[in-house]
Amino acid sequence: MRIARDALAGTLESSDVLVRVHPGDELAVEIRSTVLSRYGEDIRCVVTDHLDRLGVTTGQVFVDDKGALEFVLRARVEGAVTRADEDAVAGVPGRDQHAAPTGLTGALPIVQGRP
Amino acid sequence: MTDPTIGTLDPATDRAGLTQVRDLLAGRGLGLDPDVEVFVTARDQGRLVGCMGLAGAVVKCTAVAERVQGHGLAARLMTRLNDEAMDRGHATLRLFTTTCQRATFESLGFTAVASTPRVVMMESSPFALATYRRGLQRTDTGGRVAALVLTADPFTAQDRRLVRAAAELVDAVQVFVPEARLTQVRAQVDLLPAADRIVLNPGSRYVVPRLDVPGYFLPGAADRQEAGVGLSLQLFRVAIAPHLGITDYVVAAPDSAPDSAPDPAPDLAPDPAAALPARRWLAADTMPHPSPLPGHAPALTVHEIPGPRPTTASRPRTSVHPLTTRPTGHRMELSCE
Repeated sequence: MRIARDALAGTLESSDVLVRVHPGDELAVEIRSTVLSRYGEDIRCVVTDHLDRLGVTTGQVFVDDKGALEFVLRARVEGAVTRADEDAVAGVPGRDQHAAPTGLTGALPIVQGRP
Repeated sequence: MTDPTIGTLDPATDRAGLTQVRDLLAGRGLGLDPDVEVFVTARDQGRLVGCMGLAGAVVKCTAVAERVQGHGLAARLMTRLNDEAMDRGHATLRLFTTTCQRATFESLGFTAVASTPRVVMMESSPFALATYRRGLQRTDTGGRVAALVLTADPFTAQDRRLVRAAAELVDAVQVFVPEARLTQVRAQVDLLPAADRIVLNPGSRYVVPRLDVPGYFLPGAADRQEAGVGLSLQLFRVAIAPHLGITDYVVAAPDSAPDSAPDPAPDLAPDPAAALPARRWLAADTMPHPSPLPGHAPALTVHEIPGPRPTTASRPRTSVHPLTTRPTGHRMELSCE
């Protein structure tokens, strides 16, 4: 997969992780974690391993970890990259004000200049 | 406290909701900025207990009621705000807050990029600044490089004089103008004799004469102006100048108000008050407040170019040094530190 646009996945809540991805010419991974001193290297290994599995070779990946377990971390990385892939659904037609946000760039239908 | 529900509020349509937001903000000593496009809200049994506003890509008007603090409500609000912003096409968010709130927003995923003694500027992507920097064009001559930051709206005779003066002072000039003005300014600069030594770069997002600091936490216009100038100058010195090999910085002298300007259009840019802060933030060995960014930021030589005036001797200047780097042969004066 390819990081073709900005996307994010996850939350800032405890035991979760927020992953932001942006397009870029080379692969850059930045890790921030509440458990960085103890697990920082492990987190980086899991993230780069999962990006590798997904075939991601370029892009900026920011991982803001709040103590997520490994499977959560992998799921959030995959979620963000899937949303950023050029083949991902670009927009949710008919989204109303009370619908849950999608985290996809430009996913709100624009009506008279207002999303 | 029950589990608060997270939702959104449209300030344009929900007048009653906006009143609750105003009360919540006032309870935390904050104001309500009029340009907020959407609020993310937390309600506990219908009662508003938390809010975060989004104006463009700027997070503002954030508050959590005192009685529900410490339950991770800000993280839930910020998560939702991130999604709402992304849906509106804003991938990188920015915020300004007091220096004592820095740690709070760091825990919410933000990274500090600049700080004055009172105000810190933060961004949600640690890559955004580096990405902007990578897109900048460098000068290829080497030697001394002077920077000039203009609003150039429009490109006035005063702007042209500043660019010419800078080109005579140093080997190459970096002119930063808002992205929308690049083409127009390029056409004007190409007419100057030193056009081949002048590089134009887009400056909108980080390099501006003054960053817009929101009023909700800092009501005084003078305080906001001072903070906005300080933040942009610190960013320039720490993140931009070393990257582009910039050694000098050119501003209009503070007393160069266009009282005797020959051209009919009023010369508004650059901000005449910019010169003194430039000395404090760029020319001094130590900045008024340390930068949150790593790396060494050497001082820049600041040149204040006086305004167009038939007899410059009629107004005494505090520190005038003869030009030593390059002979110019006209009435330009130079004040360096």
